[in-house]
Amino acid sequence: MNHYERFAELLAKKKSGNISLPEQRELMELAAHDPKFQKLSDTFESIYNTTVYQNKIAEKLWPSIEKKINIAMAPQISNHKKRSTRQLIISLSVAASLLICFFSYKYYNPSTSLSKKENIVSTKMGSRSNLVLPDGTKVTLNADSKISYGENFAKNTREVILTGEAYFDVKHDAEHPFIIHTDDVTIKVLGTAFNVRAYPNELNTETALIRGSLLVTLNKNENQKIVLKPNQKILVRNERVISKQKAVPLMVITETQKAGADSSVVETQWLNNKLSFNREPFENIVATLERWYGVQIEVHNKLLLSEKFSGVFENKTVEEVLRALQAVGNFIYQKKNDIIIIN
Amino acid sequence: MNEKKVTYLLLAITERDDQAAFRDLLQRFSEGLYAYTFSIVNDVPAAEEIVEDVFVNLWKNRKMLPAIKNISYYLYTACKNNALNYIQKNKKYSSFSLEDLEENIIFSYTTPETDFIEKSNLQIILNAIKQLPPACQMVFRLAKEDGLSYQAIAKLLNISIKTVENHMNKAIKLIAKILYNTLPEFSDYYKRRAK
Repeated sequence: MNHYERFAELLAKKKSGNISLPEQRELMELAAHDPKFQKLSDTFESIYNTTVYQNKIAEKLWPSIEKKINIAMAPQISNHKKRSTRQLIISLSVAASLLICFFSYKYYNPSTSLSKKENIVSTKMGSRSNLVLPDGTKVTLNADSKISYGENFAKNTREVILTGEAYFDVKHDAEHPFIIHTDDVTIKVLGTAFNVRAYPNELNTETALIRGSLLVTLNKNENQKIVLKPNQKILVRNERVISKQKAVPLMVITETQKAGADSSVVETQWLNNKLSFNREPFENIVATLERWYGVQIEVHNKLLLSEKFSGVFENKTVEEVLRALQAVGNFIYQKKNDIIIIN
Repeated sequence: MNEKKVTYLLLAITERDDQAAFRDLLQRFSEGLYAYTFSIVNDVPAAEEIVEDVFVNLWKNRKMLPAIKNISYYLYTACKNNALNYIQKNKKYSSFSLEDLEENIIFSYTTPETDFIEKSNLQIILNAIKQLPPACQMVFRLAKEDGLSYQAIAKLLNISIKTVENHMNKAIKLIAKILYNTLPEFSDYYKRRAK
């Protein structure tokens, strides 16, 4: 059996959870001695942690399910024949308030579904993925992100819905505008390469342009349209995140940040497996580390959360990153049952 | 979708009666549950109705959600039980007929209309998985997408744990082989190989 067959065998054992300690060591050694095997392992993990599915069944069943659960939530009709007037009045007012609740739930989260049948690709924490859309546009999806597109993609327009972070390299096609929907902004692509960051738990949606030009429209106010030029980025406030900071502006246009010696841009460092922070509050760094490495981190030292850190980490383990931050930040971290605790 | 997100969804459903979260949960699991259920009942409307009923019941009992340790296993088992009841009631012969499954049911994400022009590793591999025998695909899907343990899969499919292991090994070796043949890092080595 040659090396690669043995490597595959060990990967399979690892996935089943039946791998012995010496076998684990063997796997690590194979990967360490040969970068090709490391690459194979990384790509395998990325594929294993990316889910590709359709919502065909869900879309078909939802209307009926929705009806049934709302009937289930309606007040029960009493079987008692004798009812006093007072009881009747009370039960009527309860019914009225439940009706109001139903309506507000229905409109609370307008469906941003593109069409009945969507293709959906989503990544887990600690994993990223590359895919090619039917028109040839290349997308790199960062950890904990999801992109979906309908079956009518490229008929008139090329539209996708994004949650999380992705880098787009859009195939030029003037006949079919490329449009990206996130919760707070809609981006129409007039050029080619750019990064969109729209995580639901972050303060802002961030769109950074590398090449070409983009038209960004605020979903809250469609009259607010901004054209971005290369090396510009725009941050739009995420209404769903409650911020402890005094006033987060609705939107800010600034320049993309250069990252040190080489002229690469901070916002796309993640593509090169470089973790980059530029005066980031520790709170955000923790969230990024959780996504990047797929770990859970608890910060008990609340004062630490708003302190800012800068740094670039390339191919480092989470422990190495924490040790570096620890030296500057004056905290202690420990690992307890797979959770990292910071004091 | 990862486990943290599923936990968040369950919390939203239990504590806030969040129907949007419930819909997300449906999206996350319905495709897999449908494929599994269909493999037992072999009837489209029946499979759809079973999945629907399982979810409606889940909603009705949502206050008890925190007590469920593994939502994935819970949903699959509920579908299995309902499916077996259906088989009994309708006196149909069933033998977990994975071999008769329509080609696209287990991994149905690409159809001819949306076929990819260029292919990334992800797409090449998923297309290859679809060429595996249905039983292999089902096992792989349950492990990968729904995070079920080999033991749980064995129970759900009425096969031995060893069989589950064999299927998984087959699928993983196939993936490793494809990556080995398509990753540029390996291209020199590939040229040297006789095969």
